[in-house]
Amino acid sequence: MLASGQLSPYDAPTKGVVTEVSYADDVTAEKRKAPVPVGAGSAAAFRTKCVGCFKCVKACPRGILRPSKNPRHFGRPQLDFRFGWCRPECNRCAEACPAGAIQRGLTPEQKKQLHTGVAVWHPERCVAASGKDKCSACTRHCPVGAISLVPRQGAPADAPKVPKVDAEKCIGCGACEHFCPARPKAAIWVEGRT
Amino acid sequence: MSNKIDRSDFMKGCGLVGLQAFCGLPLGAAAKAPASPIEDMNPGEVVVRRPSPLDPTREVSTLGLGGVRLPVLSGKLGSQDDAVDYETATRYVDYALAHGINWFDTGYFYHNGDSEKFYGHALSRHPRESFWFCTKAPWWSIKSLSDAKRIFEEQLARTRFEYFDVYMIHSIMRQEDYEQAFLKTGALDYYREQKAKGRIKHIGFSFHGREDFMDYLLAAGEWDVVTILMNGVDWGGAYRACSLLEKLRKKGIPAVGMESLAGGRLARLRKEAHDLLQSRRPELSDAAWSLRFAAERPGMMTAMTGFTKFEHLKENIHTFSAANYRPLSDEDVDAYLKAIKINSGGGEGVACSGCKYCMPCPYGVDIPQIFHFWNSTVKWGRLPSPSDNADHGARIDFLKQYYKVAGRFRGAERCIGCGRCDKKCPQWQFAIPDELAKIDAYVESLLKSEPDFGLPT
Repeated sequence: MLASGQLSPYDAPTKGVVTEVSYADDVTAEKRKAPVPVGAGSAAAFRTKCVGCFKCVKACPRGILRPSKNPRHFGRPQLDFRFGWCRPECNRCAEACPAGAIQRGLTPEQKKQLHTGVAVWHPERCVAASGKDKCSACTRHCPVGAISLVPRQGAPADAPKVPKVDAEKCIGCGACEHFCPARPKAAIWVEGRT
Repeated sequence: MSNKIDRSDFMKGCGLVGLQAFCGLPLGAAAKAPASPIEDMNPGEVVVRRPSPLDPTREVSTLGLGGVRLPVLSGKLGSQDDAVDYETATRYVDYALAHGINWFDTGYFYHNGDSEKFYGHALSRHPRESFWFCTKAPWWSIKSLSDAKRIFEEQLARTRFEYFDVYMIHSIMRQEDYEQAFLKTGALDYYREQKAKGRIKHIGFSFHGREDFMDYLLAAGEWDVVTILMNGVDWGGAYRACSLLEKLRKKGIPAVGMESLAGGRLARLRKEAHDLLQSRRPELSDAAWSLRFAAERPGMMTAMTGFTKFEHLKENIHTFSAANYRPLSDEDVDAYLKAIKINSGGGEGVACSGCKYCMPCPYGVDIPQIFHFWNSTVKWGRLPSPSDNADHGARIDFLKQYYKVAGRFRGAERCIGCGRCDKKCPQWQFAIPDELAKIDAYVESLLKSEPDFGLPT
């Protein structure tokens, strides 16, 4: 479990992502996109406005806003769900931002309306899909009820149920990724919207 | 006692030596020597002994010592994972033997095997007939006859004894496990062989199952002694210790009580319960009430308790010493059971005794620590309200302590409900995943109110 500390889930290989999730077709084509802070609009808009002062990185109480390592937008903040997930109740990054790149004064209800990404599920890593243990970590912790447990196609009737993401409901808060027990890399992760 | 010395201690020591050289005082007069059990010997206090039902020629003390939680080198109370502090624990055992305690109980995997090794070391310095030694065979490690033989020989080698006074089947809960581990493999016959050879004097089992399984076991085999949970909570609770004891009495099998303080949960009661007991017998502490209750039920041979601190051992010996021994009356017992009911009044605590049989969790949840923290918070009424503005400080305190106990990746939220812990848990009154989910939901409701709370890094 602690071994994940050394590995970035963003290095996740995109090969082998099965089309069982509606969104997964898109991510098979290119590398993973990390989500930007909730309320920032599109990633491109956020990176245009952001001045790279790291005030939001410092203000985040969970420590999940981290500078990007991608050379194309090096140092720009992005969400990393290894150490927590983005709570709808919290708006500290927006309050700290001097450039107005993140929308201020969002209520929890408004924040639950904004989609910063969508969860993608990888059956080959999933604990439940392996049939070893039944698991409901992502379903139980989803704040908007976007993940449901369904019987796996082609599996015996008593096999553990597997998660299915409702891409319409998912807001990309990262709770599923944070609480996923699969190691070294989470079996469900948030793919940022462009 | 920690033998580490930090910088300030060193400077103090230097100052002391300098002062002594300057004034010509003897060094020992200024430095206070640590209290040693040997110096605290009180020959007037001897634990009550009775002729043993197992062997009428020998006596057995009404109070016995367990081996799950021994003093450890790290000094952490109630820790089972650390190495045993041989020096301290040996002095405790010497003290206990000198004050009449002669029943010692341990198990194959306690302290990762260090408990048996320690008892062998501490007790082999005394005549073999002066004490009863009991150890146990874990059913979950016995897959074949060779496993049973290997474990038994390993136990004898560890303790360096010629024989065990009592050898028990450890923590048996279900009929299929019993049949698989002891009947199909022939392990039980092997133990009977060893009994005929004199390497085991008495065979028994420690019981954690339901009543009908006890009926089955009593009908199926011949047993010399049975260990049952014996404390105020399990007496009338789902475990039904009262009717189990009655069954054993009818069969004429002596019973040994374990978890007399429910893993320390009954060592201190809530204020209301404490006041009720104090109004009846002010000289008895809460722990003394529980131990007396466990030891005095008819049919009980001895009641066991752990010892991690010298004060506890001393107090327990005082409780059972012949000089001031006055048994609990029937009214006292009623009052005690009433106090236990008051103590568990909230009903939100988890009946976990911290035995750690559930560990290790494959997903990293520190189950006993979380339950211990939860129970102590519930017991003292320190659960903050999730929504009340006035409880802001209490919520932050709770969360800080919770994450200190559970750690960043070992909290209740990491439970996925696989249920492996539940198969190993000797307390079947509750389901571990359900209780963890309840605690997780509560912590989540607190975090919702405290979005600024930063997790420890």
